[in-house]
Amino acid sequence: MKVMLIDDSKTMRNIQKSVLKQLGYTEIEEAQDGQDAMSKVGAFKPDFILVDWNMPVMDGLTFVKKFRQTDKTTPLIMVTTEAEKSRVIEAIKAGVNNYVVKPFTPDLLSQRINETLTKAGVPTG
Amino acid sequence: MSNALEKYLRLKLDPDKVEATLRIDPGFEVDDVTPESLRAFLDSKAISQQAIDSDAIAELAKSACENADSEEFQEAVVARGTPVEHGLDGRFDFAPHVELLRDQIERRAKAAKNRRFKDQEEAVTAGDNGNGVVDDEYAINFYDDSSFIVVRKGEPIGRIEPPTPGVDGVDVSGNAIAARQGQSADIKIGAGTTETSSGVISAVAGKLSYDAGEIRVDDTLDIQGSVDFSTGNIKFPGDVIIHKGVRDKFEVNAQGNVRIDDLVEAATIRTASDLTLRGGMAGRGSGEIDVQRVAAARYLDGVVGRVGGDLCVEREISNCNLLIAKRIESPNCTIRGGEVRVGRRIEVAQIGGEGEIETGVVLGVIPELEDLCEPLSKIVNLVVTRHSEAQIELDELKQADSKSAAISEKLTEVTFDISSTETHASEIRSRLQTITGSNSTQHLATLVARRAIYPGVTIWMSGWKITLNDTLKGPVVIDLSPEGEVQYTPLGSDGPSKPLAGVAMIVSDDRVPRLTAIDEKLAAVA
Repeated sequence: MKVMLIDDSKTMRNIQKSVLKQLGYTEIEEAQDGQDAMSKVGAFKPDFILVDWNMPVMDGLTFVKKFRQTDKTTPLIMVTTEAEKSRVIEAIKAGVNNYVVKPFTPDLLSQRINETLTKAGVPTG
Repeated sequence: MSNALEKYLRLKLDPDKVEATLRIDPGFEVDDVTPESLRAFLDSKAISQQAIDSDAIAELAKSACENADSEEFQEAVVARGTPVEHGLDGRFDFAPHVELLRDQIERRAKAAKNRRFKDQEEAVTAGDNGNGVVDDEYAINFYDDSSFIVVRKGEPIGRIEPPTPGVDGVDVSGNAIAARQGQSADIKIGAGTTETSSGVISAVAGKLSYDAGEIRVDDTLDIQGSVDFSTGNIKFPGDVIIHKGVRDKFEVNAQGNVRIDDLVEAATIRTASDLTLRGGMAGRGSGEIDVQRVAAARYLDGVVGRVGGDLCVEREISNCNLLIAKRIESPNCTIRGGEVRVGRRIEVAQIGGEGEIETGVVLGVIPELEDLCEPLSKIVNLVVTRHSEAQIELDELKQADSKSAAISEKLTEVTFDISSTETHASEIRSRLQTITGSNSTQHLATLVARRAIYPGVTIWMSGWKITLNDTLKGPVVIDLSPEGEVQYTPLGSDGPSKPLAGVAMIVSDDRVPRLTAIDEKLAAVA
């Protein structure tokens, strides 16, 4: 199963990558902002996406909106420090399937990924 | 045919009478010599019509008439029978690869004859292809090139060719010549070989020999002399018995037991089974043994290596560097100089000697963990330290007033570090327990000295380094108390045991790390 990680922090990407590998996902593509992700997502065709909100060049919310114009089904999980309820609602309206607030534990991220994929009818790890 | 002609004609037969030659001497009347007159002469000599060569007769008659004035006689083969083909005797044909090895061994033996090897360089001859031409393919290395053939089990050795009956011949008079029947080969298919439809194969792995008409394969290699330039290195799939010694720089490598009756010099002896050195080994620091099971020796001096089972030495282990997986059981032996590392138990007469001879004894070694212990300790320390640092960092971040994005990300990072170190600690612990499960021998590590242990001796056991201050007189047993402290007890007494600290300097040391201590560290994290 193919996963795309979008985060401007390499450390954060590495942490998420480690959790994904523990869950059995080994085919992982990384992008450092929304624009970078837009340029890769067409060719990579991920089965689900983990996306940060605050990033330079193109933020996560803009990416989600643009991505959802052409792809309505691929599960998207927003992994962000934006914890306010209004922000969460904004993201969900834009098309994210689930939401993980930083700081998170590896267990919490695993749990969110599994529940999102189950809900979307995608077979997990 | 006139009688006048007959006196000029002579008929010669070869010994088998399968060829008749007619000679015409000078002086005959030309008119008398015709093909018919010559044929009539052959008839009179009972030469068979089937054997006569009419063309040869016509040619001879013509030639004689044309040269009638010559002083020379004229002759030609005028009749031929059928030569007899006698049967061939049976024989043993070696398989081509065996034949090549036999050839190589023969060349080696010839080259070794009367040769005196002064140094190692002379152990390789220039190649000579037998015609005086230098050819590296024919070079002989008196170390590596074997002086005997080793075959695997089931390997083709050769084939017995049966005798043939032969084909009868016919002489020039039409009489049959009986062919002689070939004789059966006088070959005995000996021990270790078996005859199959595809030829003779080896029934066991071993040394192939062909002697006095017997082909055999012996699974024990019996060397009457020494392993030296006459034999080359030994690489053998079974037991090896060497009735003399093994010279410097030679190697013996056997899958079975090895017994050597005389002195082993600075050589290398490897066996997948037991080793017996009846004459001892003077390795001069470079002699090496690698024994998978039990080793026994009269003495070992300047030897390095390892023994997978027990070691028993009659007299002395001096200046050796040895790893013994199980026990040294040698109640009359002295360990003097060098270092021995032993898994479970040492029983000797004496360790060290007068004059504070530096002698190291490492007890409770688990060979499987020998190379692993030090890096394992380092990794465990790193994991434990990182876990503790991350825990402190996490507490500080949690107490911070600000909950900025940067702090949230840092918290994620630190939480992840803690989680990772806990996972690592748990994995290491689980694997360590798997490895040590069948090797938890450290508490059984025991040292028995029947006579004495001298100053200059250092003993490492289970997390301790023990340096003797004074001579510890035997018979005495050194082991660990249930609390893990080093203690000694007079042999044969019921105690009480005394702490060794009274007669030795004891300091904590990780040379033989306490696995329980590593496990305790990990348990605090995992």
